[in-house]
Amino acid sequence: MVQDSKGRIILLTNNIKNNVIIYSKDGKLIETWGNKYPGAHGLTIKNEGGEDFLYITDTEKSFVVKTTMNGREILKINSPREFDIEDNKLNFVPTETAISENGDIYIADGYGSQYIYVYDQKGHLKSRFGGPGKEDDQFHNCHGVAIDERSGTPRILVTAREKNQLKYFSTAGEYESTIELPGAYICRPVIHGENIFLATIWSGDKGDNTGFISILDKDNKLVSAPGGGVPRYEGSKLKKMTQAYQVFKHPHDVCVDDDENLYVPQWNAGQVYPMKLIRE
Amino acid sequence: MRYFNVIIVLAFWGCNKTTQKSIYLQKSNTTLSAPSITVDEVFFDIRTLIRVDDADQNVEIRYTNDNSEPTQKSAIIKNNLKVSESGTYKFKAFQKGILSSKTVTVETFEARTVNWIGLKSNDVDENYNSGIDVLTNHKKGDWNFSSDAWYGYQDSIVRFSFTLEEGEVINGAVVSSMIDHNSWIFAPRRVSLTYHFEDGTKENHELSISDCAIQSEKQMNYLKITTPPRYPNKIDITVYNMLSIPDWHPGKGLKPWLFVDEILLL
Repeated sequence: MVQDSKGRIILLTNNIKNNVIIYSKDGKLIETWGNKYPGAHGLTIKNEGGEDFLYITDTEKSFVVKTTMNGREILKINSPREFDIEDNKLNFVPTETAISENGDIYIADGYGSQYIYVYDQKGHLKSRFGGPGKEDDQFHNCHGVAIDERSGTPRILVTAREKNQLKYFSTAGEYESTIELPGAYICRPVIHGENIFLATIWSGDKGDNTGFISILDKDNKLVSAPGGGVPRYEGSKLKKMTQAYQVFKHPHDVCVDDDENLYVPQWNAGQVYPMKLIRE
Repeated sequence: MRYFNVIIVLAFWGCNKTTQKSIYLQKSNTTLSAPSITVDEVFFDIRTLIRVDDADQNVEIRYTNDNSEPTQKSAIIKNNLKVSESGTYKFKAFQKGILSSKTVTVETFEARTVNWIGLKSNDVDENYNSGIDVLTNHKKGDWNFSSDAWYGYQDSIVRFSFTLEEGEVINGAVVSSMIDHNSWIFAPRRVSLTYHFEDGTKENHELSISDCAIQSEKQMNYLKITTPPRYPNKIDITVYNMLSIPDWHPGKGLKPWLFVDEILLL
């Protein structure tokens, strides 16, 4: 879920009756479009030269597509296997994208190969990093990716969901550091202002309907967890997080609007509409 | 630093609505999550520790150890609970103005040393395990059924036979298993415990699980058969898997999985 430059809230769904649903901030339906993305999963917006574009990942059809705001397809990126990458025998099941200022497209293959693929703005594969495994620079469900520019130097921030971690890489794909979020099975990082917001789809021992929202401060310390317990640190180590209140079931993304309200779409939550948390 | 002291939720209304209506979640309609309870050693030798994690210090966690449902009058637990006897402990979270949580039940078993000299089972066709030794190591498996703590199979009937030293007293058995319907893992439909005595006689005890096909949440499942003290020279514990996955499940008609992590002789 993202907000466009007109202030509208864009929801991506995997229902081919309306893959994209556009709301006003108060929840009024504005328009819908899209009927060919049955595995629509990750939605990123990027303003390029004054115009908004959407980047949609489809986990069923195994591609990433760039569209205009009314659904016209501009670019489609299929499996990187077409580039004959050595040893790449895993499926391409992209879950999220992040777009850099130079137009590079970072694709998190979260349900597939566990690599982050880097394409240029024309859809040519440039490099990849990560991959499956237990090492610091490897992933087990790299579900989300974002570009963190809060320090002034762009860095790639990647979700390692099953490890309850976020991992920093340089834009060249070199591993830098890890943020530990024990008990938090996080989706993509959403960077807004000085904070990182993360839908946390499961918590604790990964029981059903145990999600909440994680909010990190400028030092990447968990400072608030709506629906979850109070974050408690022992030294620099965060105590394992669990859900405290049954507000959410399985949050799958967070959109922070220009008034800093949060919108939370969910997966497997009884087909409920997204929920809005109003900033106090 | 807290971003949202009170969560107010506005539900979006559907595409086919002609009027808009806002719904704000009221605190009084919010339900507390079940408390996080973990046990150091479910099958313990001398003592064990039940760890209680209050996700929020405003939450009161109350518990019982007599199998009754915790109420607002039950004992409050603030620290971890030291346990030195087998028991059933029930925990529930309470907070003023918020609906109380579901009850969390944990069980602990004092695992005395039984001098058995042999354990074998009939062969299973397709298993998901590293051998039957895991069934007597007094180690509780976690939710990762693919870990080496579990003995998993799809066979309809599996018999585990213990040969005992002479003079060993037995008071029953516990079969510890997992229920995780999302992973096609179900409770057994029946467990039988058969004592074989030196004079060739047998004594059979049965436990039927009538609700094994009913949809339920993921849980650890302890099937306990208690008997008068007996001195058998051999024990058969037969675990009967459900014959097929029930109709409400995506795997309906197929063979369910059964995962056992411990067989405890009492």
